[in-house]
Amino acid sequence: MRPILILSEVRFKKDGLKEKELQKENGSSVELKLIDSPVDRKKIEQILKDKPLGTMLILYTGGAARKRIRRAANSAGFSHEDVRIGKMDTGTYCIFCSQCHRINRTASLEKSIICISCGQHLEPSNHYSSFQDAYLGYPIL
Amino acid sequence: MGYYGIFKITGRLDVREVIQVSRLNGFPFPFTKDQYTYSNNSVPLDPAKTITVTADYKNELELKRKLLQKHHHRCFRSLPLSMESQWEIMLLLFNELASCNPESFTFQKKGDECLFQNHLLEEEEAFVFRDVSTIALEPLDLVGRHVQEDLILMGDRHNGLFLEAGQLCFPSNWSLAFVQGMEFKSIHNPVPGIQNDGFIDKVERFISKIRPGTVWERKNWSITVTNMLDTPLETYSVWGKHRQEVTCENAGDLIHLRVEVQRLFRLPMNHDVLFTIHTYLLQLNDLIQQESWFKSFYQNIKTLPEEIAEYKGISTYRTELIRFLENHMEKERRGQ
Repeated sequence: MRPILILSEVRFKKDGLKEKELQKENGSSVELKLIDSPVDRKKIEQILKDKPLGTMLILYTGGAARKRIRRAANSAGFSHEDVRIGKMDTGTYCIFCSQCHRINRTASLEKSIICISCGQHLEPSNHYSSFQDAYLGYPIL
Repeated sequence: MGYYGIFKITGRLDVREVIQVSRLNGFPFPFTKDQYTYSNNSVPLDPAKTITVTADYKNELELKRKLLQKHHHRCFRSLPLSMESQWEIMLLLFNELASCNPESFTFQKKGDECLFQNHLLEEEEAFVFRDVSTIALEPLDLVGRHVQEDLILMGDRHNGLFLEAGQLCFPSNWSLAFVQGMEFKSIHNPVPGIQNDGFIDKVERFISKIRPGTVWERKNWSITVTNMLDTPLETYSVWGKHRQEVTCENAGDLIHLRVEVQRLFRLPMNHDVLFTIHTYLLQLNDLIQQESWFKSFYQNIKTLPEEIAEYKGISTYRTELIRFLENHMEKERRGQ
């Protein structure tokens, strides 16, 4: 079993704890660390520095923090696949407007939305970009 | 070859015939079977050329540069870690342009001092290799303004291929801004059936094993209604509505077979992958003049699985297209 480190922003503590319990039940050695936002990259580097080889990192954070942690993790030798995003109960999904590139928020992937920037009617898809941390919204004519 | 060249040689063809002959001659017809099949149809190229200069060079470069000027954020994206490979690509393409088309381009490199001359456009680029202060644009953005191809740089990291830079002016319904930074496999998620039997994993494995200095080519086809080369997802509301306008009477004028000649090249210095896309359009009225192409095209459209037709955007007018092709077949049979 790979050791697991869960990094969770305080606001997602509940989700982080749930994940910790789940991983424990699966028999993994798991550690949960709560982090403040905005994320301090140096602190993250400090946390990651001594982790054993093969550790899996699970993140419960917002998009901006996620990018910073990913970069720090990559610098510390974690591969892309070593870093996973936890499923958070944020109640929102990010939708990338394919017309103007604005990222919109919505409560459901099932319903169409109107882009708050360009007014385009968009249909959310399940095409997800971990780089944008958003789902692609296709235009509806 | 341009149509003026052919006209001079024959002297007997009328202008319409001449244009048709020229378009058909240079067109990379994609179908090799009379039935749609799903495959990685890549072949190695010898000589290993990543780009092609055609008679449409000046027109396409003019369009490309207009798009880059007006919509730069849409047409060019890069991550900082792509710079080394961008430099390598610039050198590679300037070299290739000059060595394959010496009458149109020259390239000299003395130490790190470089001079590229584009005689077709009467321009030159002087720069010092790997010195960003000597160029006004990023290297990929600069060299892309001298080739007809769209250029995509896939960074080969130990855990997959990632889209790290691109100059994309003529996409077929996709967005560079969205896929920037994405992994190869995730980019292709919307393609129907791509996950079946580990197909996408096999393709990625294939690309990751391409040897430095070798070029592999495949042809990818779709259909564009109207003759627009630039059909990005960002302007779908402009060009997508034309799909509703196709009838069995106007299909020959409106519908164009769109073929992307895609080439993959492993960069010897940085080990990343250069992906070039040269897009060709052929009006259906021209295509049906070539009997074997017409038959093959008809069979492929007819046997196209519904989910692929939907993905390629053909579903809206597939019935009208087939009716047009069958009407043409009937006319031919009657000898009209």
